Amino acid sequence: MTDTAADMEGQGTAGMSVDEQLLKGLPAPIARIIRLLAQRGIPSYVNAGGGPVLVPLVDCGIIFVMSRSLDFIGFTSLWSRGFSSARYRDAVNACAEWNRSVGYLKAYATEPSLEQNQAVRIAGVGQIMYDERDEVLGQRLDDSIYIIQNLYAWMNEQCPDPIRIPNAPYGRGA
Amino acid sequence: MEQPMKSVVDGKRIQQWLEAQGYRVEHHEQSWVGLWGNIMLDFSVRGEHDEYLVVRGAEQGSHPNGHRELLEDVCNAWNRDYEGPAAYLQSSEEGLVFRTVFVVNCQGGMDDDQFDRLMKYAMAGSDGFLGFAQGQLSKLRMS
Repeated sequence: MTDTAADMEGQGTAGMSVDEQLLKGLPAPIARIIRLLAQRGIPSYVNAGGGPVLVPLVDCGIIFVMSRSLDFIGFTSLWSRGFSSARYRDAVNACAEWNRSVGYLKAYATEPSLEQNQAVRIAGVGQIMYDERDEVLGQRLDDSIYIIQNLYAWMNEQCPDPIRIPNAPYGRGA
Repeated sequence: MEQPMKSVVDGKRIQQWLEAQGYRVEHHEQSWVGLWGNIMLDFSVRGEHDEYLVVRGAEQGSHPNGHRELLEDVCNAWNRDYEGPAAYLQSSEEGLVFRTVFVVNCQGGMDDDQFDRLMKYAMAGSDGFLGFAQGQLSKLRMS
């Protein structure tokens, strides 16, 4: 992530300024997502190539990706907490319970990897339909963030003793 | 250029779409339900403001209760590696059953073309998961 499209000074406020010059070089749907998030006081980042939009929140990081057909916006979120590899089964079971009982967002447990220091992470993925109306797309973005936050609040209740992952939600390489 | 008309996604629209495809479905507790091969699909609109299209799938048949961990891993692998519905296990009197759920926020409505693609995508996902699960279970049986 090399360029910052939204002004960090506005974080947490109802509306942030956006560097329109930076947005000019981005694909129009990506620029729209960034603008709508900024209107909601949510900072986001994108690389110069106009790749995925990264939204760092307190409990998780979210990546929004446009589908090739520009019909869907896929989103993937990663909880800022995790489990030791010995608790992989607990993580899988918690995700299974979420998918069974709530299911508005697909949750899964990652496999322990060297990249993650053998930690098991919990991710939530879903999709929203793209729409050319700002009000509608904004509502759908709001809803996706709300559901993601619900997932991790729920995880916090189910698994009150996870490990806090010291890096940013998507790690140092993000 | 004029944008196509956006219409609300509701039970009537789901029914009309399914019937236009030639599918036989029944109305059951606010859902439209039909059988496609080995999977029962259930289409409904849910949420406080009826904003979510929810497509649930249920495999016809079951697996032994003793295979729960293995089957949970198959669901988790699908959820991790593939787009589409969430897969999970449900206990039944006969054993464990694979289920899927696909939810999309349709607040603000959508045009017919979008709705058509969304419904086809939702249907294909459940079928895709069952194919994936069968493949995984076959590999495990051979190993």
